[in-house]
Amino acid sequence: MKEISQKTKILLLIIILVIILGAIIIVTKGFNFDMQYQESKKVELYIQKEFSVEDIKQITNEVFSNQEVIIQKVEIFEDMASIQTKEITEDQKEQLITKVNEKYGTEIKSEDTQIISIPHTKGRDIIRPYIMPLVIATVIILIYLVIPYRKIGIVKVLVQAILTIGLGQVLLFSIIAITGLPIGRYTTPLILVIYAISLLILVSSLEKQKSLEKKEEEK
Amino acid sequence: MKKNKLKIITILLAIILIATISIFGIYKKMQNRMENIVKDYTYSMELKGARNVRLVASEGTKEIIKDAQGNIIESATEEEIEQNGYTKEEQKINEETVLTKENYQRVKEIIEKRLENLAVDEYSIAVDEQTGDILIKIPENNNTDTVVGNLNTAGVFKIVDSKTNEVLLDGNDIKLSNVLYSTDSLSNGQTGTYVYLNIEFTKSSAEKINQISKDYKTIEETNTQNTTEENSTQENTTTEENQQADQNQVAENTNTEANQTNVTSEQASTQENTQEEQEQKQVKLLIDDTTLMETSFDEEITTGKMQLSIGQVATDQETLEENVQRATNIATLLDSGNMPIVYEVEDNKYIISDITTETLKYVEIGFIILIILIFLILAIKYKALGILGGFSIIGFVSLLTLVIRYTNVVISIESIFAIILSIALNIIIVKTIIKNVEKSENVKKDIYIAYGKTLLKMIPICIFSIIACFINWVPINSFGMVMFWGFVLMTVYNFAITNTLIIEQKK
Repeated sequence: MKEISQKTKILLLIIILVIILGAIIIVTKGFNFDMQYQESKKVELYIQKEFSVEDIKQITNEVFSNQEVIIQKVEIFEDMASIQTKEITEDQKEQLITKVNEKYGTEIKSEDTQIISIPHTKGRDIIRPYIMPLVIATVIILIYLVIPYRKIGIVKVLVQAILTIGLGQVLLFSIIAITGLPIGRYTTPLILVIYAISLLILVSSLEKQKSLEKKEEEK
Repeated sequence: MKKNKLKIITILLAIILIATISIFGIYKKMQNRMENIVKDYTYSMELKGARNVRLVASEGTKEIIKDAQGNIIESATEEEIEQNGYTKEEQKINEETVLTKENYQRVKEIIEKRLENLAVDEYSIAVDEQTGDILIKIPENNNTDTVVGNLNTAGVFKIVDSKTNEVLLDGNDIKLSNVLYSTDSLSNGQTGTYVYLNIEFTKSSAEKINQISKDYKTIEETNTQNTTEENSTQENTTTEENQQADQNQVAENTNTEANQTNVTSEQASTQENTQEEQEQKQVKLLIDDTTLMETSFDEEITTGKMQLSIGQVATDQETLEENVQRATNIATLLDSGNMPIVYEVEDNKYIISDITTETLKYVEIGFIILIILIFLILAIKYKALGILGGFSIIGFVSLLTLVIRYTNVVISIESIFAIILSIALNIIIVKTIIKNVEKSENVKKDIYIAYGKTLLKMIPICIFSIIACFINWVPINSFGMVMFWGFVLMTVYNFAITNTLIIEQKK
């Protein structure tokens, strides 16, 4: 028993440290955002024929060095390329157009191609659709949990449930902040998965407590 | 012993067959080529592509006609301008004073409300707080063009005197707007559906509309009533016949006072009518300065609600859908409020996702490799039971992917994660069953106890999945649907197949 509580203490300590560190980073530095949610620049090049994203990727690697680039095909005919990256200067735009013209034999003109600004998508706008459903689900689940585990103590069950579910999400965002992982298309699925796993851990813990209570009653 | 082996082999062969169909499909000759008849997946905006719409604040100008006192004249011919000494001025469509961060935010909120009212269940909006540019991404489907058409419409609603153009009520007086339906038996024996645009005014404006309905009451004695169509609307008169009609009302917002319907009627004063002692006063309902209808009021509006019939009575699905779409578009504009800034659509393109079908194929191959690894681990650890457990998992995954296809579950990144989670939960169930029966004497009893206990632990996740299925947001909805079908299969499939395999093996 002593060994288990020592392990639990160490685990709790690590969790607290991670949360504190995560909170500091969030307050001071904020989150990183994936390219598709960041403030960025985009150019659209009308190539007039089918092209391979890999070929365009090679060109953008030469022009933009190590910058992250998103390349997408535009419209049903897939004959236009959308190139989005953190920053595009006029020089880089001209280089890009020159290389594409050389590769595909097109006559794209620099003056006809604009650099489009893509505004930043706010984190709260990404997360907002998930808040109410998770809150509603949590309330209903809390009501459900009180029924089979009421012998443990209703208040104890509710507090444990809220802490477990909340801790899961707080830990997730702390780890994201510490590791510098960008908030992107994988963040919201992770929120849902961590929520589900938190529920599983919670029920396993409540089941253990329930069986201990039962054993003590039988004694 | 032989019977047991036969049962096991039959089940394993069935699993292999389902797995093969799930991965490779079933090919049939159609029009001189082989086509896969197994339904394909439906992809979300994130995986398929989205319509990217860029809205910019209009930098154009408009001509304003003013009289000598500086009052704005709605419209005037060149003659009138000369005669009355009016002046023309060029004025910016968007004055500098409206181009503020708060207004950009307000426009964003209005667009979000419109998207929700138009049942767009997946979108993203980003606003450039410096320039006011708005980038919207919505799914590409048959309704996308209709949605785009509604995004930048100002939605300025006015009720004006049809002669003097005095503004009697405007959009700020509207509390909500939605679409209602009623069905009625027609004279030809068919059942027709009427579609109404319901406009509910705020408490403070309810008195105003009541007064307006009195001031602009239909003068029945002197005018014959001719019903005419104007623009896209048509009137309904409240007669005793209509009041006896069946009321099947479908409203987005709860409306408990729907029994009192105040419907306006349109009167066309014709030259055949006898001389009127009182001139019939009419109002015009305008949206963005376009006349929706010109009408007077048959009855006093006492409930603060006005219902306008949209289109002809629908006796077929196509007409009904058209009328509903028209009413929904208007209701969306009225319900979301006026845009403080006039926006123009600068760009409107369908951009294909950067997650290509090749990437998705790699994901599928990754899944297959993962399942094979799990199969090997179980086989090494639990020998014969592990091999059967591994096959059971393969069957579960294959069935899940087929069920997802045929129940039209949208594949999004969230649902891919849900598939992984479902597989993980199923592995837990299978492993728990195998562990419990390894050294068990009463195999059946121990299997069902282990199986039941594990499933009970997953009830809260199941509750969450069911709630998620009802959320009108594709990423959450798809996650919930996959988890829900995963649970159904975990319950039924493991009971029928996994347990049978394990029991037969132990025999």
